[in-house]
Order: sequence, then structure tokens, then C-alpha cells
Amino acid sequence: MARSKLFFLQVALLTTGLTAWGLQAGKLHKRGQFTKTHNPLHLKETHNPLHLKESPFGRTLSLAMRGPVDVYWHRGEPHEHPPGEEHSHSHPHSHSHDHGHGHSHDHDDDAGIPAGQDEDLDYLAKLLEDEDHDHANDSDVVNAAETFKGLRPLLLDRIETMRTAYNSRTNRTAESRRHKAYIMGETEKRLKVGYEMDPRNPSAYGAYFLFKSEALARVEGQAGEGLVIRNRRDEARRLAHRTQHYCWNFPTEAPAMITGASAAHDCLQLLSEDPDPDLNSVRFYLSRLNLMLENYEAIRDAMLEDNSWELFPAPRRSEMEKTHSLIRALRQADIQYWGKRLSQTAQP
Amino acid sequence: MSSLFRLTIATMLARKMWVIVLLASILTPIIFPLLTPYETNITLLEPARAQTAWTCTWIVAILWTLSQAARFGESNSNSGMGSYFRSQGVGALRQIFALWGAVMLSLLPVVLISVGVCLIFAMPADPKEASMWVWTNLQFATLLLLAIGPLALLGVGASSRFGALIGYVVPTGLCLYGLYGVTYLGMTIRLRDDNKILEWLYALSPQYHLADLTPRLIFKMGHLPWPEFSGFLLYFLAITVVASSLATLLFRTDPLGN
Repeated sequence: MARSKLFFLQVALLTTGLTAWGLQAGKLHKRGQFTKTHNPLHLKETHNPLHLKESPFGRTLSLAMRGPVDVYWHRGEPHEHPPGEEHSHSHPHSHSHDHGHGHSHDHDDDAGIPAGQDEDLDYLAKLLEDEDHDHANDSDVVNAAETFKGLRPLLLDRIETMRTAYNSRTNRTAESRRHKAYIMGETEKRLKVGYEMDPRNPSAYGAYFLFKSEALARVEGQAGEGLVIRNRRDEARRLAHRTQHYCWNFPTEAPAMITGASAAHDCLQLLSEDPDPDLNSVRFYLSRLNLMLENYEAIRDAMLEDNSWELFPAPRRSEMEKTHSLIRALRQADIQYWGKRLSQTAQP
Repeated sequence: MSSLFRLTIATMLARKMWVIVLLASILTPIIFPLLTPYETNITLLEPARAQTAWTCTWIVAILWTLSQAARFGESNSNSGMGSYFRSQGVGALRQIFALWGAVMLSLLPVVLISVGVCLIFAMPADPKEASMWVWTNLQFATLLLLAIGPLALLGVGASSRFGALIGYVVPTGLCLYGLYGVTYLGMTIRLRDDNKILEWLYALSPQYHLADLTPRLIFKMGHLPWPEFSGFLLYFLAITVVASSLATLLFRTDPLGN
């Protein structure tokens, strides 16, 4: 083929291709196929690098995200939680703005696993009772460094020390309101990622919901604060609704059920602040709360029976059990409160 | 088979990178799923295997296939090999497709391994789901090859004229932009729906994320409906025509400055 002929052919192909591309792109764009709607949580427009969110890996990452979140929460100083004692700021939503760690261990869980049935949990409970909250186990760390236990523990220790140093805070001046708002905003961003990685995770959901419902990431005392709070509460309501809806799709998974139940309770809690709540949705959430809580208990009992319950790491078991006993108590309160209101409106 | 094609294959074999690539594509679907909390939910392993296998294939395609394409494109023109083959009567078109064919052929085993991992180690038990699973994988393989193929050709063409760096960065940038950047752009547009320029840019960007069917595998969503799939196919074929004519226009067999 002559060179000029070939050149013209190439240019002609290029033009045809461009036209076809444009036409096909227009067609697909019009049909809305450039956007993805595959996501069960309707996160359709959010970004999902490597499709990690909600995938099996997302579950692991959701747990792993708590490290980075901790650094922000504690203003750069990582704070080691005893196992099972994750951020329990998620509940109750008493609106007391108490952001400290609610170290109120209710070990007389009437609904949870009785003592003696779960060895790891008993051990954890013992640890928590022994601990007098001033990190008495610091001395243990020193002891561990003195007795050489092999290269790997030594290296892990070293890395941990460096990490603490890296995150250590030398500036002791109090932070400004704006700085606080910024840090809370960063915390919220990380919580959001953690939540999106695995919305079934009770702690990931609980912490993120708390941030939204309490509008923690705001500049306190700024003009228009009320509006910000109202908007955030709106977002919190949507978040809770979406979460219970999402968890409803996983009726065989204990974490999903307990998260769903706590989200349903959050929906009820937010509805109770509404002067004119939609009673149909109240009934809906009440039934979801009931069903998911019962389902959780059924799953847990079945798993206890065939010994698969212990496959959950101890901290996760304790986290689920804590949420469970809390939600059980709150459900009682919900039923009393709404029972009265529902019967009041039914009579006239 | 042209001797340039065989020479390229032989060079790649001698470079030994294929060993690492094959090992990675076999080992990652075995190792990575163990990072999921599968102890309590054994059904997590299968989707995780599928996800790992295909993610690994994308990474191999972007890091290895496209870089090989750029490297061969440059060395063909710079070393005088292209001139030599042209004096032997092998035209520019046959040269670029010989180089491209060898590079793409080396990606094929990785794609086949991914399909194999999904079909052997992650097959759904339900026969109806299983047939959907097979089709999803075949659709995925087709779309992935249709996305990477033209980019590799563009890499060969661009690097023969502008050098390996540009020949690698341009197709890779396009690919990453189409996989991830475009979604950001789409979000921006939906947040403010009055910017015509951005909308044009969005509509004319290569939407490579459509070729990534990983979520359909993770969430077991079934294969793409066939009318939609043929629409996607046409779309990527149009891009293929553009990219390949551009690549052949750019391709040169002689060293620069000649």
C-alpha cells in the first residue's frame, strides 16, 4: 500500500472511531450507564478504590481503621484500649456531650452470656475489673523489654515505641475552637471510611453515628451553629436508616444483626425528638429492632452451641455483647415510650 | 509468524519478569483472602479470591504489560531494529502489531489464571448462579483485554516516537484516569449541574471503570445484561479504533533524528 494511501486510511479510521466513540458515549451517558448502581448500600456515587468498601477485605480494613481514628480522637496520642474496650462513646445517646471513655462496665449483663460460658470473655472481664484506669499495665511493658523474648517481640516493641514517639505531643497549649473542629472533622472523615468499609460493624457504625448526631465536627459557638447541628442530625437520621436497611440484608451474620438493631434504635431515638413523628415508621423501626435483636440472640445461641462463637476474636465478641445488652435495655425503654404514644394517638 | 514477534517473545522470556508475574497471580488469590475475617464466615473466602485475582490482573496489566509495550516500542525504533526489519520488507504496520501481539500474548496467561481461579476456587454451588458466574468472568476478561489492548498499542506507538517514559505515562495515566479519576469528575458534576465544559470532558473521557466488573463478582450480581454488554463492547471498540489509528500514526520504525 502506498504510504499516502495508508496515511489517509489511518486518518479516516481515526475520524470514524472518534465519531463512533462520541455517539456511543452519548448513548451510554444518556441511559445513565456511566454511573454505577450496583452498590447495595446505595453508595453509588461514592468513590470505591479497588472496590474495597463492603468487600470481604473491607471488613478487615474497617477494624484496622480504628488505629488512625484513635490518633485523631486523642489529639495525636494513641491511647491503648484494653481488649474489648473500644470507643464506647457510641451509646447511650444521652446528649451529655461526654466524650470521655465511658468506662462504666456493666458486667451484670442480664441478657448477655453468663459468666463461665465463654472463657475469653471471662478473662477480659477480669482484666477490666483489675484495671484501675491509670494504665497500670505500663509496668508490664517495661518488664517485657527487660526479659528478651526473641527478635520478633523485640522488633514489635521497638516499632511500637517509635510509633508512640511519632505520635507524641509536646505542645501542651490548649487547642483553639477552630483547631478542635478541624481535628474532629478529620476524625469524622476516618470514621466515615471505616464505616463505609464495613457498615455491619457495630463500633464503626456507632462511632460514626455519634459524630453525626452530636455534630461533634463543628466550630463551637460559631454563628449558624444551630443550622449545622440540625443538618448533621438529618444526616445522622439518614445514616441510621440506611444502616438498618443494609444490615437487614444479612440475616445470618451476628455483627450485622446487632448493628442493625442499634441503628433501628437510633432511628427511634431521633424520631422521639420529632414533634410530629410518623407513627408508621415508628412501628416499622420497632418491629425491625425486635426482629434483629431476636435474630442476633438466635444466631449467637446457635453459634455457642456448635462452638463456632469462639471463632470471633474476643474483643469483637465482647463488643457485640456489650452493644447487645445496651440495646436490649434501650429497647425496653423504646417500647414503653412509644407504646404510650401509639396508644394515645390510637384512642381519639 | 513474523520474526519480530518471535524475537519480542524471546526477549520477554529472557527478562524473567514473567516468573514473578505468574507467581504473583497464582499466590495472591491464595494468600490475600486469608486477611479477611473468614474464620467466622467461611463464605467470605470465595468473593475475596475473585476480588484478589482480578485486582492482581489489573495491576499486572498496568505495571507490566503497559511498561513492556513502551519499552519495546522505544527500543525498536532507537536500536535500529525497526529500520533493519523495514529493509527486510516488514512494514511499519506489521512491526507495531508484532510488538503489540507479543506483549498482549504475555498478559493472556494472567487473565486465564484469574478466570481459572474464579471458576475453580470460587464457583457458586447453585447451578443457575454458576452459569452467571462463568459469563461474568468471560465478560470481564473480554472487557479487560479490550481496555488494555488499545492502551498497549498506544504505548508502543507513542514510545517509538517520544521515548519510553511518555509511552508509558500516557497510556497508564489514561487508564488510571478512566478507572478512578472519571468517577471523581462524575461526582463533581452531579454536585453542580451547570458546568457544560466539565460535562463534556466527562462524557468524552474513556470510562474504563465500566470494564472493571470486580463488584459484580464480589456482590454476586450476575453477568451484565447482554444488550448492555454489547453497548459496552461497541463503546470500547470505538475507543480501540481511535487508539489504534492514533498509535499507528505515531509509530515510527527509524531512530529519532533520522
